[in-house]
Amino acid sequence: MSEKALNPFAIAQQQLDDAARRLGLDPATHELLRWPMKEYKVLLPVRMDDGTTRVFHGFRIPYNTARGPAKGGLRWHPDETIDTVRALAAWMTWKTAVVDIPLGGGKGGIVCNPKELSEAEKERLARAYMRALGSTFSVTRDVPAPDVYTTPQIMAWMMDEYETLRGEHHPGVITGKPLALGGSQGRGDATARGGIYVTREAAKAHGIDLERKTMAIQGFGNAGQFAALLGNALLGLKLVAVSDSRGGVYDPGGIDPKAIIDHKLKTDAVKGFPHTKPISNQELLELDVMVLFPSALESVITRDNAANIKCKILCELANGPTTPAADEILYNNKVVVLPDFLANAGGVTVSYFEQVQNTYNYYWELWEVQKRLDEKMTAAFKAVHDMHKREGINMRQAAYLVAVARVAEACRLRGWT
Amino acid sequence: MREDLLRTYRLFQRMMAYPDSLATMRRLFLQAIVEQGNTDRETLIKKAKAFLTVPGGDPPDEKQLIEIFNMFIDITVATTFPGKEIDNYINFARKQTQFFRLVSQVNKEELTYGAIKRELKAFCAIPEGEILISPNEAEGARVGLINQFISNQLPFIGIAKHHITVRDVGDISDRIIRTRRRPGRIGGKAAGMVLAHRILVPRFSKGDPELERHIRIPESWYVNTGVFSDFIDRNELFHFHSQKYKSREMIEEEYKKIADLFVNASFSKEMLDKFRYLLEITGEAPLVLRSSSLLEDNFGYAFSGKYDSVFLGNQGEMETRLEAFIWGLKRVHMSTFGPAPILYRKKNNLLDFNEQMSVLVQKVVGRRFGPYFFPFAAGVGFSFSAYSWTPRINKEDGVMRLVMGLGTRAVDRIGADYPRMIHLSAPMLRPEVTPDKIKKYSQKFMDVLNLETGALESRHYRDIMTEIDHPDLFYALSEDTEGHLAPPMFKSTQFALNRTCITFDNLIRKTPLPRLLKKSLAILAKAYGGPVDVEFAWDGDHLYIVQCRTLSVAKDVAIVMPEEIDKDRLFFKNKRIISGGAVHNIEYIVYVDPRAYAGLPTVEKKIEISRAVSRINQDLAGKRYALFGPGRWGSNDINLGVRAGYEDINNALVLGEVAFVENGSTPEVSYGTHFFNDLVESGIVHVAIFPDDPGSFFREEFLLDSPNQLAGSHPDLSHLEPVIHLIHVPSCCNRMSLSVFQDSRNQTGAGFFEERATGDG
Repeated sequence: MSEKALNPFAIAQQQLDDAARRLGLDPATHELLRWPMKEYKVLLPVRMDDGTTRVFHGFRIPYNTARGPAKGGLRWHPDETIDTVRALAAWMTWKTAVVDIPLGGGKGGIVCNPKELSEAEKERLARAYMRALGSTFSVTRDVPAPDVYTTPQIMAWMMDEYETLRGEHHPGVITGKPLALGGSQGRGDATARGGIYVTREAAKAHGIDLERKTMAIQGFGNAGQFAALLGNALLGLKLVAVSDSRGGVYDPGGIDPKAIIDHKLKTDAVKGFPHTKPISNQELLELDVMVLFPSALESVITRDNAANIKCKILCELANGPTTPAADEILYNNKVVVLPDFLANAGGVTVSYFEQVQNTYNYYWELWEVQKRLDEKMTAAFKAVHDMHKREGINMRQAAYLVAVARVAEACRLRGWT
Repeated sequence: MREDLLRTYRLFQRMMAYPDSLATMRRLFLQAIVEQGNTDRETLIKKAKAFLTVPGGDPPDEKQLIEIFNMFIDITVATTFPGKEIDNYINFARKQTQFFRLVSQVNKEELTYGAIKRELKAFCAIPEGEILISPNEAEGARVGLINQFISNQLPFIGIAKHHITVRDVGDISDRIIRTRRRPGRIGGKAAGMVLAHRILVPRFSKGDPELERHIRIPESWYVNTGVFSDFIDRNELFHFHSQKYKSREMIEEEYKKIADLFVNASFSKEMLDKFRYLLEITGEAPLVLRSSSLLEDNFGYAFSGKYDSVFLGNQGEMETRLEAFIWGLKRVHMSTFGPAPILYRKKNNLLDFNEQMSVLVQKVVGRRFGPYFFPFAAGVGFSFSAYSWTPRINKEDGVMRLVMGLGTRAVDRIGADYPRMIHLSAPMLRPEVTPDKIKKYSQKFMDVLNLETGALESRHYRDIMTEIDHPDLFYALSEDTEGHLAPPMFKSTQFALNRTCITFDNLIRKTPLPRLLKKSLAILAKAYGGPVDVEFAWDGDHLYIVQCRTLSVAKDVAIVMPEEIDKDRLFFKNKRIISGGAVHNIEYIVYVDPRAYAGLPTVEKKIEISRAVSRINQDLAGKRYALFGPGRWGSNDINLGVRAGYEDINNALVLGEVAFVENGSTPEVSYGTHFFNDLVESGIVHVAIFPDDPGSFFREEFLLDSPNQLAGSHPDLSHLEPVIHLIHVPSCCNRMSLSVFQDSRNQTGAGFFEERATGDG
């Protein structure tokens, strides 16, 4: 079997099975956590601009709510399947648990091609989804957020529909809203910032001084760009290599993060940045740097190249950049891997902050958001790192163990198992 | 009574100012009197007779009778018709008289430009009035005048005669820069622009009020083809007329030296005085000199981008401006002898036509901001969109390709930059959904005229907008606030430019441009009897039509894809189909390996590949071959694709653009560029392959592993074999050949090897 070919939900179940075995989880809890607690499937008739009606299929899966209301994105994708949504809902459960925010995990989706929908049709579809599932959403039950092909504008429409149904203001029913409608400060760089905080903690834990050490970034979208800026500003790291889909650039003397972001914005590529040498994505991954941030694609570090990875800390800002086979090789080679659902949990943490501020009806300044994010990410790292040391397992397995144990404990305390 | 006498006296005086038209006036007066019902012809005759009859005297003679009859007509008109109505009759009579003179001049065997111009001016000097010469009556004159001043292309005349009036030709003739020694016409591009304007905003019949309010053409003058011919003769450059019959190599070689000859060539004093006069009229307004040859924009042969256009800052002292203007004219004229148009003519059997160049001199549409001059937006609109990436797009409603700044960016292939494609049936629909994608596939650079340097510059829009304060950014930009990408609500919005991208969302929603263009394109297509392509600028709430021509559209025939293709025979599968078509029996494949090309260390090495591809293309003339290569063919960025003009690839039946993720190009947005128009016009099937896309397939190893015939057929190119692969398909595939299907309706395509089919598809 190739490293990529499994059904996503089957993979999620395997990961849980592995954690359950290591934790010695009792069979009932294990079984409870292997499956979504609820699944909603809805049909959404929507009047199109030309007067015809199209019926869309929608899902919502609050996977597990033992630790709190379900939290997770809404995906609008033509190839959406129930198994993808199940898997992603399970991963959200572990992610909220590992950063210890009082939420469960969930995911939802609509099978549609948003490229073929006008703005008015998107709005009608968003409102139809909220009408169909409004009774299952609330700040105390299930809180959706933007995901694949959904935007802050779509969140705003959904919130408005929900509030219309309820006849009351409930901005916390959904997160990822535009700032003017109750969105949170600090969401833009939250993913990268969270990754930077755990990198700092990892360095401390391993006695590494990051000041003036080197970093390389593979993938230069939102997360990669903020990682370059914040890695330099907060940790003193020197950026030496950056790549995107068109290739990379390398300068051992250092690359100015602001200047290369500007170059990328202007030319749509990092290549051609002055005074740098071209470098391929593959070569970048194998550079001898202190910190490597894979920030774009899945499965870029595989059993084929894992042995050549020379960084000391590998911070996974992208989802799933490292395959399980590569994980083992990296672990044996003593590369400190900060697994994706820990390293990129800054996004969901700030989503949670948005929900809190909405409920509180009082909004924090940017520095307050960042301070609280730091506290959450630092605590999460410590918990995972302790587990890693205590159990002698790699950081990803440790993160799973921390997360699954927390969810299992909540289930037990509730008397579910 | 006193009042009646005075009115009659005044009328008579006015009538006597135009003695040639007296008979016509009285005929019109009598007609009006009778129509009014007060009296009739017989009553007036009786009245005249009674007036002349003296008891016992002789009966009045005929001459006397007519005189008094006319007197009663005049008195009746003077005393019963309002002054304005009388003016209309007098002017109409004058028009008819002058019109017949004009017609007789136009239809003379020996035409003299000056005589026609005189009669035309005399006609146009008469106030328009409210009574018009009937269209049928005027048709002959219009045809003659259009033929004389504008264009002698019959398909053009056939349409123009219904829309361009005698007075329009009069207006145009006032703006023609000509030489006394030569007749001449204003050429295709100018003709297309004038015609489009009149179709959209008719001079006399009732037009659409919204179009009347918004549609304009730039202020223009026409240096007619006679000036070009005179210039060639004066400087003894006529040997260039036979340039077109030389070999391609000779044309290319000699064209390199043409600039030296033209630098030293001169215009006559008469012309210099006229150019100086023109520049006095324009003042320091920036100008664009656009080619407008007789063949250009002809029906079916668009000559897209084949001839040069030259932008002039036109600032400073008169002599400085004149010098730049003359060099601009020469550059446009020079391009008549360039390889690209000559090879295009050759391919289209237009070589024997005596091509002549006119130059359309236009004030550039736009406003000045700091040192920069540009229109807010510009682009190209098509009345039919062959490119539809979703069935929700109605092809018949057309599409526009819009950029901020000068429209040059909308018609050239411009590297990794993206004009906004707006489908007029669903203007807000776009294939990108997420803010990141929208930002990626948006325009980043804009073309502007720098009035301080006189140069056409491409600058990042943020750099420009940092330097200037543009009042219309509200319509162009969207801003990303914490992941929420949206156009601003208020015109007073202060943008954080580094968070913006050009979307034109507010322009689409809050200005009439999409609606105006959709309406205009439909009206023009109806008048032309087929699809059209319009270049335009949008500035200050006005839609300026800069150019209009017929559009070649690939036939939207149903392509029936084979139901099952044996995997062993499959060469590629692709999804994003820009235009449909099917080609069978392809014997040769030329493949420029994208990775090898990207790895070439210098621009010079890449140019060498361009030249080699061009040569192979020539050598494969008459053979059935397909050309595949990296990214965007014809891009102005050599790193994104092989630099090639239409003439370098014109023998290929299929042009494939292969975009691996790591190279990052996106061929689909080429739709609407001059280069793409050439492909459609000549029936070359365009194929875009994204090998890394799910559901796509590209058997590159077939191209890389099959025997490369390049060294065998072109020994001097053998060192390029690592980059260019020349494959003889039957030798590598059991005598099979390649077939290519592109089904635009279902957005699916494939190339596969099969036994030779009958017919070439």
